Amino acid sequence: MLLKVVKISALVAITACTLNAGSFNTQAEKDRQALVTYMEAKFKDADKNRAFFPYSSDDELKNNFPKNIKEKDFALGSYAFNSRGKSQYDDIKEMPPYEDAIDAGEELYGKKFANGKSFKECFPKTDIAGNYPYFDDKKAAVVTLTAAINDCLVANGEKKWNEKKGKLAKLQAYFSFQSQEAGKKLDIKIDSQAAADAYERGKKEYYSQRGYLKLSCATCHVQGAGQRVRAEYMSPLLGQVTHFPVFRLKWNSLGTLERRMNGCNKDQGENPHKPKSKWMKELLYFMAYMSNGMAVDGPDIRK
Amino acid sequence: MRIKAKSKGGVTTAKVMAKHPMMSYAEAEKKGKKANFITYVIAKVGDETVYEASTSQFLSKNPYLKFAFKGDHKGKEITITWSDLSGKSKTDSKKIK
Repeated sequence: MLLKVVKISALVAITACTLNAGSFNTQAEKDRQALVTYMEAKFKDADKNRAFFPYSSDDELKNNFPKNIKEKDFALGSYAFNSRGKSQYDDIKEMPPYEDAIDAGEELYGKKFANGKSFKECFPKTDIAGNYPYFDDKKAAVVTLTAAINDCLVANGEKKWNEKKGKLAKLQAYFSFQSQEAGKKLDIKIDSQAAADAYERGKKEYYSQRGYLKLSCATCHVQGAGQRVRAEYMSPLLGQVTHFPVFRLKWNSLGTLERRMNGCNKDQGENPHKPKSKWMKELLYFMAYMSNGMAVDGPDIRK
Repeated sequence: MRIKAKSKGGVTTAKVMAKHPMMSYAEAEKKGKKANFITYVIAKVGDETVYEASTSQFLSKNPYLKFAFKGDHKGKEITITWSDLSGKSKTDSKKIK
């Protein structure tokens, strides 16, 4: 009888422990689920949900928006709800312009530094793109993939690389491609109170109005997702970070997530925040968690 | 150049992307560089010519060509050569899947 009581209380104790272990990401999970619910409901039938699309034409709503878009479809960004744009995207994907960059990235991965070591020491596995950004409890800061690559270079006595394009983008393209091939998903962890606080700060930045247009990120990418700015559809927050680094047709080259973020800062009439700033890293941490669980599908093409 | 070739249902489709600046005369004048673009492309499977084209300034940088020809050529090699205005040529081959 006593043994039974001991067994049951032990089981209860273990269950309580495991339930509490994931408790730091409870709020983040709620936020993420709310975003998925909102996006799926909004785009279930754009023609019927006209209240969400006050400035869209009849033709668009009837003919350009596909129906019943699900969570994983949003990884395509604005192509998820723009059938005409999607057909152009499919054509370019026949022979994607980023393939050379992936090969260049593979070379950079194996190339030895002056001290004889290479990226293999810092990144033993290459399918790791979905694990970033993560919160480093020892450093008490968010670590993005861009920062991790530059940290590796500095630790081995090399000069830092440009955080927006060039070699760093190519190396990220290689990691991203390897992760995609391995079928990896975004696996962002919030394992401590400090990490949860960083997430909350990132979230606050996302929803704060900024720049001379007084727009917040959410105005365009949550509320405005599916609406147009002149001829261009605004992409949704859901699935926004899965496809980086991105070959942007406007740049005609590969760029990191930080490059795109800075471009958006400038468009908002705000001075671009540095890629290594706390602002940028925590914001990217929040944005990545919003797409947690989605497949890594970088590199990819966007306008 | 990047070549992808596949045989299916008695038809072989080839996709080629050549790496070339394809600088037109107008662009060259604006940038102060020398005009140069691919003028001729030929694709062969064995001794047989399967595609031949004269091209000019109308193709943009890193031109992408896609063409299809009859026959099931699985396992054979397709060889593609381009030559440009300056007289340079490049040849690449790939096995047809």
